[in-house]
Amino acid sequence: MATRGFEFAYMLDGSNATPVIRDFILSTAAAHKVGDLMTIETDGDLTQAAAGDDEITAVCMEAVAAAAITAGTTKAKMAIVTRNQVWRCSMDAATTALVAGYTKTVDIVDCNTIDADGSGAKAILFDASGLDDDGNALAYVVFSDTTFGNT
Amino acid sequence: MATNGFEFAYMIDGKSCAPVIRDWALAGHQDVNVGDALTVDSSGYGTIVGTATAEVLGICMEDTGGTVTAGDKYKIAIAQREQVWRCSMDATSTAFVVGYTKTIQFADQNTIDADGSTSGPMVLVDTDTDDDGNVLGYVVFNDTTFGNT
Repeated sequence: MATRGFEFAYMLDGSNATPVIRDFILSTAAAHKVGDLMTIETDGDLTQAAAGDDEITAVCMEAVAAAAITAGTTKAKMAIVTRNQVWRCSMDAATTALVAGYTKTVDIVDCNTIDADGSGAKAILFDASGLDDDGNALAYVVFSDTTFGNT
Repeated sequence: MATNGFEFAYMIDGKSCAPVIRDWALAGHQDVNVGDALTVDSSGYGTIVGTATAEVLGICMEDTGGTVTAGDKYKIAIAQREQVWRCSMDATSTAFVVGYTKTIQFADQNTIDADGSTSGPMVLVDTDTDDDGNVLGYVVFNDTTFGNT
């Protein structure tokens, strides 16, 4: 089956590190799944990323039902995204014309699917030569605009 | 003798890791050697840097043994900002200032320009002398394909 959102693949710098996990406050009482891409709001709370978001903060590591969330209070575990991490996630199509290394504006369809033919955000395609077992392209990306890596 | 292009030295962030090596399709009509600095073109192919190339994809880790057919894959080390690479310069001295000179250019794909710093991607970390008597520059790349926007 397709990936359930974003999964950590490996470190692009060759180290054997894994993402740091810590609790963050959720901003919205919506269902959160493991693998959801998250971004930060002005009050420091995290919300699920949407198409066009440039800055990425983390990937959700804990499923939380909407009914279990008090917006602005409930915390969930998040893997903090850094520039050296490669993340993999299914695309919404079997093929993509995005070019590894050259396309630096890879976007998402939603918080757990990469847009195979859209651009406008700030992920860089590293590889999309494989397929998931639904037949969609399985993309490996790095995020160039991370909350704890930009200005 | 002088370095054969760029050689990985160490990680400036103190990690004990080495660059990730992977197969990468190269642009045609070029002869690429181990240690050559590469950038990426609009087709996604690795291609030899020019003197003022700003973005670095990686360093070639496999001789092509002649002119490349476009799209053929060869092993390259993916460049990252935290990696320190060493490479000979084209002169026996340089006025570049460690840490301060951040736009050092290439003389060619396997030599650092000792006095060109208008628009390149290298920050000087340290210097030594190679056994041809030229400056051996230790540099980091501040504009990497998988580190910029």
